[in-house]
Amino acid sequence: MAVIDHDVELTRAGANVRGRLGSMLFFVRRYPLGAVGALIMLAFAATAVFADAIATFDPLTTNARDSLAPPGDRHLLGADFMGRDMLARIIYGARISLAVGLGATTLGCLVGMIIGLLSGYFGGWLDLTVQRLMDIMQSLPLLVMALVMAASLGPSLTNTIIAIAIPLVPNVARVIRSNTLSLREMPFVEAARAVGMSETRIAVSHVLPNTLAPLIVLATAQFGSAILVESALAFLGLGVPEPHPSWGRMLSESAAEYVRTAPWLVIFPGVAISAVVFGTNLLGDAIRDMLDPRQRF
Amino acid sequence: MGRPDLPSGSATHGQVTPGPVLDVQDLRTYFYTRAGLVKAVDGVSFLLRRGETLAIVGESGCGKSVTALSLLRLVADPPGRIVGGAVRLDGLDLLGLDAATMRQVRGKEISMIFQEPMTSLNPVMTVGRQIGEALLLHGAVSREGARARTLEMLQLVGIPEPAQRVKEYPHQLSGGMRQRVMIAMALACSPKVLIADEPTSALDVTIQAQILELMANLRRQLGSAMILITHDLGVVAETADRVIVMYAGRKVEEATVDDLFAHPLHPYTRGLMSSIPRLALMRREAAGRLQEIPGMVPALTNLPAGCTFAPRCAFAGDVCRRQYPPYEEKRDGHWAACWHSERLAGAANG
Repeated sequence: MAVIDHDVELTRAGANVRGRLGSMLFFVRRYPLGAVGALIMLAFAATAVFADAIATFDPLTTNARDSLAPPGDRHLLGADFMGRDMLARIIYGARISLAVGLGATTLGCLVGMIIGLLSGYFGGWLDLTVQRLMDIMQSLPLLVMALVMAASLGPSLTNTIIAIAIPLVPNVARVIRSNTLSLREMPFVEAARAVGMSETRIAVSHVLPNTLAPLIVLATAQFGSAILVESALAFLGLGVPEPHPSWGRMLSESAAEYVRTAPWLVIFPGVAISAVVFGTNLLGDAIRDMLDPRQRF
Repeated sequence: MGRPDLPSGSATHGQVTPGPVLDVQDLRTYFYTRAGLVKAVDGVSFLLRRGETLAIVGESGCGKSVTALSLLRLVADPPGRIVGGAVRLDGLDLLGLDAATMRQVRGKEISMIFQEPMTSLNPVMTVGRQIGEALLLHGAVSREGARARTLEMLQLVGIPEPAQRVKEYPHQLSGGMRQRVMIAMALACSPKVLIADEPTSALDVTIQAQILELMANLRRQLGSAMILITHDLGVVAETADRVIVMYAGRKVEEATVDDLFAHPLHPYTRGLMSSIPRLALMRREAAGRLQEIPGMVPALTNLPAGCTFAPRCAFAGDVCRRQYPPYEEKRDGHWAACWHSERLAGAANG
């Protein structure tokens, strides 16, 4: 007969978790895939922040002799047509991706959050107008939207971020609005009113914090897709302009010409993009599970 | 006395006066719905004296909760609107206040405890912050002051280890604990009037008694008057000084607790009383089956002519179906709206 060891069971349930390190280890044990995702994201962020220290080459320096050099001792991941080190370009490319992912997600979520909260909490004609506007925005595909935006705003890092952020707004606004709609009928909102709180204050300090859990889940998903859209835009020649190394453009420049002769030019940026998007998705799933109150005990 | 001859609030706001703390006159709250006009509260008047506990009882939908919400002007508009009457808190007409001043009254002068302790607290905010928020909102306290007062309140409502509990979230507390937190929140600013809307209905019977006792004690300590809204006559008997019985948006009877239980003068009140389950006292003829009030509360959009209770009343005669009975003082301090109170009084004694 199996003997149940209560201590082991309790540890598994997280009863003995102490301190920050303890809860970190618990997260790893509970959500191993999420931990992998977190690790990828951590490595990605570290690469972007410490690019200067990590890269052994300058990503912009061309060298005719190293043109299309295969991976080897000198260039670990090979070099491109202009003899620029691929590893250095991928390391610096992380900066662009991180900037675009973080920037577009933050901007999109912030604007979407404000719109969603206003429209959901205060309702009325404002809600009606805003929601129809969101409908129109959502009826256009994300990529096409971003394409038009990028084309009309012109190529630059800021414009790319804005172009990617705008299509995120309706998604976020929708989620926040629908959450707000159910939250504003909650008894604790009524209770806050009975305490004498103003409507604006209730919206900001009682309703908004309750929408953060779904927002975080959404934001992680949007982070990955922002990076993907940036790559796609770059692939189409509309992303962050030369000479900044963008993974998407590195891929697009090489895809047509060198996929047979110098496959490392295609494979490594592709792997980088996939790894980061994969990482955000894994992390996002784990966060969603963690924040789901029905699974928290 | 139902209508005491105390001078009704003419004093300036904030001063302690011998008059009633709350004076409600002819309050009317109507709902404009697709089904028609719903007179949820139709001309309700009452006085609440200092330190008194007044119970408002009635079935679901009789307008008792809407009365409470109307006092705080928390009725959702649309569809609801307070269309008439006056609510005076120490002489200050609440219905005439602008929104910002009304917010100052809520939570500070009048506060409310809700029925659902499970959902009346914000799940993502620590209980300490929620109590502190109410304190900070009504000014004069520093952050540290609010913190100290929060701890004091938690101690007062009987929450063990308050220093630990202030940092906890509602989901870490039991239903009874949460209701204690709600009480702490409502009483933090020592309001003149505390409205408790079915404060114990969602709780275990064993916890109910504790919470009622706690509320009674705190009310006494802080000198607040209380309006207790309930459908539970057992709760009324234990806690209240005076009782108002409501039916279909109107007051049908009002008396002191003892008087009401001894000599109910409205058939509806009698019906409510005989539908309380009794264990040891179950009389032989009533044993086996609980007395119920036949029929249902009439739809408020389509009230019968005459007495609204007539369709369900065993005493109802022609006059009942023709004309709504006058609300009069049948005995000293005992008011009722029924054509047959005398017969009822006789029946109760016989």
